[in-house]
Amino acid sequence: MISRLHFPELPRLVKLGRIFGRMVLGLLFVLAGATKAFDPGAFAVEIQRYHLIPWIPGALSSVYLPWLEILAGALLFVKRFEQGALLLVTCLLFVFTFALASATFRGLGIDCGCFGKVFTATGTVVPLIRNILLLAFTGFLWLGYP
Amino acid sequence: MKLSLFLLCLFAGSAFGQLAWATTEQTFNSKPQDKEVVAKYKFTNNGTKPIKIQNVRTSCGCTTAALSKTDYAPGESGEIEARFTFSGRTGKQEKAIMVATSANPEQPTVLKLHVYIEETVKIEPEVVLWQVGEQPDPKVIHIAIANDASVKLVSVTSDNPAMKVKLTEVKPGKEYEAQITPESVGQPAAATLVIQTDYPPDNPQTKYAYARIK
Amino acid sequence: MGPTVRQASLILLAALVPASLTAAFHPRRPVWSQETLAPGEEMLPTVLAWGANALWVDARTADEYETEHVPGAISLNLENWDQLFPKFLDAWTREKKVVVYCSAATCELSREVAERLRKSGISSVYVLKGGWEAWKNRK
Repeated sequence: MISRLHFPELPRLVKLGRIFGRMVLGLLFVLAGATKAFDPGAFAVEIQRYHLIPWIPGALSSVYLPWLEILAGALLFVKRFEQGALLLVTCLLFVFTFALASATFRGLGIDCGCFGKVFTATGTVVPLIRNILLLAFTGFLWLGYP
Repeated sequence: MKLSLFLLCLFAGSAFGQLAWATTEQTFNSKPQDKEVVAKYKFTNNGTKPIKIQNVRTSCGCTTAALSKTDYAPGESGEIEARFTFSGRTGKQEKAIMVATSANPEQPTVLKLHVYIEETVKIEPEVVLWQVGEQPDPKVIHIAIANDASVKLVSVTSDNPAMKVKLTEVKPGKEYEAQITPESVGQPAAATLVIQTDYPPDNPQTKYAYARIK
Repeated sequence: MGPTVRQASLILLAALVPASLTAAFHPRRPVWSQETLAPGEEMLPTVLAWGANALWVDARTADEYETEHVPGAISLNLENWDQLFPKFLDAWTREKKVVVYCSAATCELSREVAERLRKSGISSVYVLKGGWEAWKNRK
């Protein structure tokens, strides 16, 4: 990689970047999960609007996903569960990105529903780009593990 | 190892060979004399395979959707013409047109049509009610004329002499109050208030409000 | 790979606990049955139980009404509102529960007529879920 002779501080900076980034990601997921756990009924309706799965699986997801987000996000801070949590966070990001991409390409004028009704973002394009960037970031985090 | 874990979560995305829409939502403000709105939704087949439009459904019978043909080759464009007939509706209207294609039969694209249908003469409330035995207090109906409408109120009359109407102008030419006073509230009664306007000149609009003692 | 997947599995399982509690007790949990009623809607069995207290309103076109309608139903639609509304008012009393229907589950006319009735000050207005179709298919 980049020569350690020229940038002796780089490996430490990268390591710090990963720690900091992991915590931010964790916080983001806890926040996202919490805002949706607050009103699962509304979240179920938001899931329905994507027209990807029938009502019952959607309703089941609406009660389960937020808690998964909260737990996985929180456990990114705990060394013992760090990698497992990151695996879940990565998978969740893939699922959300897929859903957002699907909604965007089908021209559904829906709200993301990513942060429940707390932060309503109109449209799916910005969340889609944001998610792709987050996914790229998880790639960076994964590279930090042996 | 970590790379395979990374890929473990990779979901196969659906093939994005869909119709690309110039816009899926349109908004119109109608003029007082309009009876319908026609909205065109353009699309292009951006995929690599021909797409067939299998089904176009509308959210109500008041909206019809027309297509010149159903099959579109890659690169070909077309449009759906939606016609929403007002039929007495007023205010904020939202109608939907659902388009199911061969590329996506289970998840139709939803085209939205928003129309704000202006009410030239707004009557609020449409009905005033008294309960038999209640106090015969007068009740008021507010009549408002839309801002850019060249409509004038000619008269407000009651078809029942036992229910009297008094019209006052709150804002000249724009806002009125029709006060209805029943003679007695001892038994059921009914009155229709005829609100006569002068527009359009060849066939002036008549609006109605109702008073009931039940 | 092993420990990571194991950790992930534990988290997946652990999340089931608050999820189940949410599903059972959360005040804003989603409705499970497919037969979700929108506000202002009612199902046919409920409406039939109202018996004579129900005032049926047919929001379909005059032709459809003339062909067949729910016995005792009054025709009321947006197109002929001015002619038909007085007749509705004559039949209506405060104790009645107004039930508006149109052709099927998907038509909007009943909703629109119900909205206009509510705006006019009529209380207790409901839309029949399933519409005319539900009535025809009743057992």
